[in-house]
Amino acid sequence: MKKRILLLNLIVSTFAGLLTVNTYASDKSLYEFKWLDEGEKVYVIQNKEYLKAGGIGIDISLIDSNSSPYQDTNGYSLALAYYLSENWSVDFTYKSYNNSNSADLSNLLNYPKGEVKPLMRRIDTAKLIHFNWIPFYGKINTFNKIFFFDWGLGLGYGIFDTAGNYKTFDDENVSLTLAEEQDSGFNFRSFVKFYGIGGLTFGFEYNLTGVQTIMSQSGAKETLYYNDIIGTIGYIF
Amino acid sequence: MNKYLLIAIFIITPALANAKGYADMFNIVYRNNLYYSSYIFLKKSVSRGESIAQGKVEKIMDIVHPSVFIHDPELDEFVSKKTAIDYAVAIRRFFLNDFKTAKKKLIRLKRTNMRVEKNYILGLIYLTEKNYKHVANRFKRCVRFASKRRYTHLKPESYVKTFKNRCVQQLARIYFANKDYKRTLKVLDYVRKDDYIWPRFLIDRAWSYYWLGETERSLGSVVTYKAPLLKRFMIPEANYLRGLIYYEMCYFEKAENIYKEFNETTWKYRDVARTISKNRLLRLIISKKEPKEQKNKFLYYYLKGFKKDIRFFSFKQARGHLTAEIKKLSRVKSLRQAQIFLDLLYYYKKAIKEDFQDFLKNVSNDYYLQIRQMRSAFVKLNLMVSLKKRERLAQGKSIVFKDELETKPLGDIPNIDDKFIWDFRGGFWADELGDYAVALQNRCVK
Repeated sequence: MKKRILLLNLIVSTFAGLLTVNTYASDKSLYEFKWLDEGEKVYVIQNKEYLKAGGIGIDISLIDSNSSPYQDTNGYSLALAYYLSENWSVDFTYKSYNNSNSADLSNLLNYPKGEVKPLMRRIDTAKLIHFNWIPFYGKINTFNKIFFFDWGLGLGYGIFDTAGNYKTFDDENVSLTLAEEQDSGFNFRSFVKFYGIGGLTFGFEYNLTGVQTIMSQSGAKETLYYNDIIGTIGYIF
Repeated sequence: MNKYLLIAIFIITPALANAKGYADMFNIVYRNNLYYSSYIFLKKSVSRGESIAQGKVEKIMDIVHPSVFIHDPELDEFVSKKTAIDYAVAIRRFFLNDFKTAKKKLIRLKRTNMRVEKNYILGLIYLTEKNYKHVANRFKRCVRFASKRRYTHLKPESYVKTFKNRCVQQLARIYFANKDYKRTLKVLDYVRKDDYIWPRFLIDRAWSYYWLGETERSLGSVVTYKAPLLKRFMIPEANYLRGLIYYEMCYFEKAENIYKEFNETTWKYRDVARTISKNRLLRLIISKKEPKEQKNKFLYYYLKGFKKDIRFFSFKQARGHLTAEIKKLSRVKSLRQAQIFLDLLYYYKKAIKEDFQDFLKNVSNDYYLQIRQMRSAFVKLNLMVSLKKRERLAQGKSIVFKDELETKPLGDIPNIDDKFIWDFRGGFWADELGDYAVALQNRCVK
């Protein structure tokens, strides 16, 4: 968990760093060159190197997730996006999670005085639709290469296939048994996409997901929050 | 190729010419990469109606320097015939101002590797006819074929791209002449900034912005010439445009200073551009060392801007080929037939050198004329500044201008394209050159 928090901090601080490097135009965006006449200032105005409005993008991603402390979760996702404009896009995302019992759960299940069952819920798949706002197009200049990137935020809604044991949790005669259910929830994403050769893109993103699901023995629904860290390779047509 | 093979070729040339024909001789010489010698056999075999593989003819047409065609009176024999060397004939006719024949020959060339060059020259011919629709079509085709053309070690990427950019420039100038300034800017965007010719287009961009009324961006384009990387491309016209814009924005001190700067850095050396010899020009462009004398430095840096010009590297390449062929033939020069070939090769070499020297002389003469014209324009500008001084005098104010710069807010710069503004403070990035807008408020509008 600590590792994930560290990673999250790293991503947030990276975004913050990027934002100070490249931002939308403002009157503060004035350049002062030594070779300009004294007191003269210039704006640096460039056209976009990579345009995506009207384009279709596909993304294939690997996921590292933390939906439950009792599960080690990773997975993959496939996304199809349509760029309505340079700043807005809509996408359909399918996520598939691969869950296995965590060391904590194994310890509990193998407790010497008898199996200890935690009340748990895992996420198996998610089908989402996102609306994305991509306000920042930036570049990182190195001495012999320029890297262009987009940074954006997305908010989505979707259906989640989950599995939980609230029905059999207090039944001492039944070992840990998860029952499949379907829930709904939201997903918030923050992503960076670097442009590569042709239409190839490479990116990473952070997802915060909230699923309205049964988390207690009573059967009442509440929101399960979890984070995904995602690495993506994509192509924009 | 060894000496004996060469001896064999030249001993048996007259005999072979009668028995097997020049086409076979061509093939032997061609196989040994003696392209200029192959050209001699090619003409003879075409004259006799012997056929040679199209691919080989194309390669010779591609490799042999155009100056060879221009100075080859033997090509006149083929003016009224349709032959495999129509490209060479067309080039000669073009330079002899026989545009009608050149056009006819070039249009006839259908499947040729020389489509880039063909369309460029046809574009120039239509330009002389003022047929602008055809001009634009030809230059567009030139750009299109340049993107499809394969690069070889003989015609590398730099050659093809330079040719393409010449077509882009011509196309942009047509749109400019038609006052379609937005389209001009769009066309000029096809030239990448890492291309050597790109700095020369800054002035075209600047004028386009100027006529679009975007003086901030126009000024931004010409100011780019002050960047350390591009100093050598600064032309008098760019300085004049700077002065003009500052005057129109009521920054008279700046306009005055630019005139003074022009006098000090350019006008003072104008005579060097006019009187310099052709040999000196050639030495200057080939030299890798900066000359010590200021007046030579003045031209050295101007010529440095032409070091990647297509004419310079095709001159160097042709000289290299010819030197290598002459060296090979010199081994058998005791043979009379070889001596004739050698004389022809020396003649070609001389023709190429003289043409290039003429080009350099034209460049320097043109530079001189530019300086003269800009001086006249500057004098008028200075006169207008003087009138402003007189107005101030009449108002009892000091005649010394002191410009107080007023920064223009970003929102007041019209967004004619999809623009983004970067905030890289304290850095200098080559990719941003030319993408500037000087944030100056027009002081005349109060």
